[in-house]
Amino acid sequence: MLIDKDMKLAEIIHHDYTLLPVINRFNMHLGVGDKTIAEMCYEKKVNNDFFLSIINTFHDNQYFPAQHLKQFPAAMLVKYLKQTHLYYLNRKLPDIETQLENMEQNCAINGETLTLLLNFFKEYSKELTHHIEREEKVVYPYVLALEKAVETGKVTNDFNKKLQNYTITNYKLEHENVEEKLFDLKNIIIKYLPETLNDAFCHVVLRDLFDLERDLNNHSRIENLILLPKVEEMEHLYKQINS
Amino acid sequence: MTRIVSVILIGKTYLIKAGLETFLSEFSYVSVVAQFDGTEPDIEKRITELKPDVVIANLNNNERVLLTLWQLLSKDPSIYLCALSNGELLPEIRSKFKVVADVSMDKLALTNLIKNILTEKGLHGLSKETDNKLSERENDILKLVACGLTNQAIADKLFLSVHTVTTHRKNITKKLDIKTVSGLTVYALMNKLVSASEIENSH
Repeated sequence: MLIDKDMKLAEIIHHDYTLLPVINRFNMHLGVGDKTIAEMCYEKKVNNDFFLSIINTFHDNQYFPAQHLKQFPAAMLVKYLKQTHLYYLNRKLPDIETQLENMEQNCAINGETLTLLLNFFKEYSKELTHHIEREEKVVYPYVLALEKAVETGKVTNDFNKKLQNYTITNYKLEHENVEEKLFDLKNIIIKYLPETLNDAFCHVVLRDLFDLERDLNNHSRIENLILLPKVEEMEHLYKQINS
Repeated sequence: MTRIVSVILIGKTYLIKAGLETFLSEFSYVSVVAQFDGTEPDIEKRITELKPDVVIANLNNNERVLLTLWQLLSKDPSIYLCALSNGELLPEIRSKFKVVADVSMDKLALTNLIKNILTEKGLHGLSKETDNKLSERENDILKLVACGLTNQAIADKLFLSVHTVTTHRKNITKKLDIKTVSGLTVYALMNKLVSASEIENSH
C-alpha cells in the first residue's frame, strides 16, 4: 500500500506499527487523534513530500523513489539522518545492551555464553558509534557547507582548502561495513545458542536486532543512493562555479 | 550460505508478472532481477547481460517474439527456460520449453514445479547439503583465527601456504555463516575450541 497525505496517521500506525520510530523522528508523538498526514506535517513544520517518501520507503521495501528523494535539499536529508543516529545511540543500542545484561543475570547456567554475546555486542556498538560520530563530525558538516557554497555561488578560500583535503569520495572509502557484525551476532543467536537459555529473552533480543538491522539498511540506502550521488553532483557544480 | 537464484519474468500482462513475483518472493532464495514485456528491441542483449538462472515467459499472444527470444537464449544453455500458458500452446512451441506451467495450477503444484526446476539446476536453496561440520583442519585454523593470528602467521605455524589458509577460512565462513573475526571468536569460545586464557596469552 502506498501511503498518501490524506490518510490518517492513526490508520497508518494500525496498518504498520513498525513505522512508529520513523514517525517519531519527525517529532510526531502518540496521541495522534484523527489527524491526517498533511495536517500533522503542517503542525510540525515537516515537508509533506519528504515525510511521505521516507515513510513509504520504510513501509515497502520495493519502493524507493531515488530521483524524487534526490530533489530534497541535502540539509533536509542530513537532519533526518541525524535523527536516526539519535535513535540508534540513545534508544536502540542501550536497549539491546540492557536486554543482554538482563539475560546474563537471569540465566545463571550459561553465564559464560551470555558474557561472550554481551561483549560481542558491545564491540559492535562501539564500532557503530564511532562510525556515526565520524559522520556527524566530518561528513555532514562538509555536506552542509558544500550545499551552502553551491546555493550562494560563493567561492571561499576556506572551503576550497577543505575541498582539497576532503571530498565525498573519501567517505565512500570510509563507509565500512559494520553490518557484517550485526549479521553474525544474529546468526550466532539463531544457530549456535545453547538450548538451555530462556527462549523468551532471546526472542526479544533477536527481534530488536532484526529491527535495528532493517532500520540501518534503510539508513544506508538513503546515504548511499541519495546523499552520496547528490553530494557528488554538488561537488561537480562547485568546481564549475570555481573555474 | 545459500546462493540466490535469479529469475527474469517476461510477459505483457502486468498482473501476471506482479502475481508471479509475489509468489516467487515466498522462496527466500529466489530473486526476480528484471521484468520485460517482451517487445523491448534490445531484450536479448539485456537478458544475456543479467545472466539469469531462470527465465519465465508468459507466452500467450506473444508467441513470435518469444520464439525469437528462445532461439537466442538457447545459445546459452545455462539459462533455464520456463513457459507460462493458459493451455492453448501450439505443440511445436510447447516442445521448445523444458517446463510449461499452466496459469490455472494451484499453489502446491506451482511450488513443486519451481522446486523441480531449482533442483534440476542444482540450485535448490533447501539442498540436503547440511553437513556443515568443520573438519579437523578447519577447527585448527579457527582456533588460530580466534587467537588473533593473521593468515600469514597461521600459514607459518601450520606449514601451509597462505592460499590454503585463505581457502580454509572461506570454507569456515561458508559452513558457519559467520563472517567477522569477532563472530568466529565468539563461536570458538562458545564451543570450547579455545579458551579465554589461550586467546589472552596469544596477544
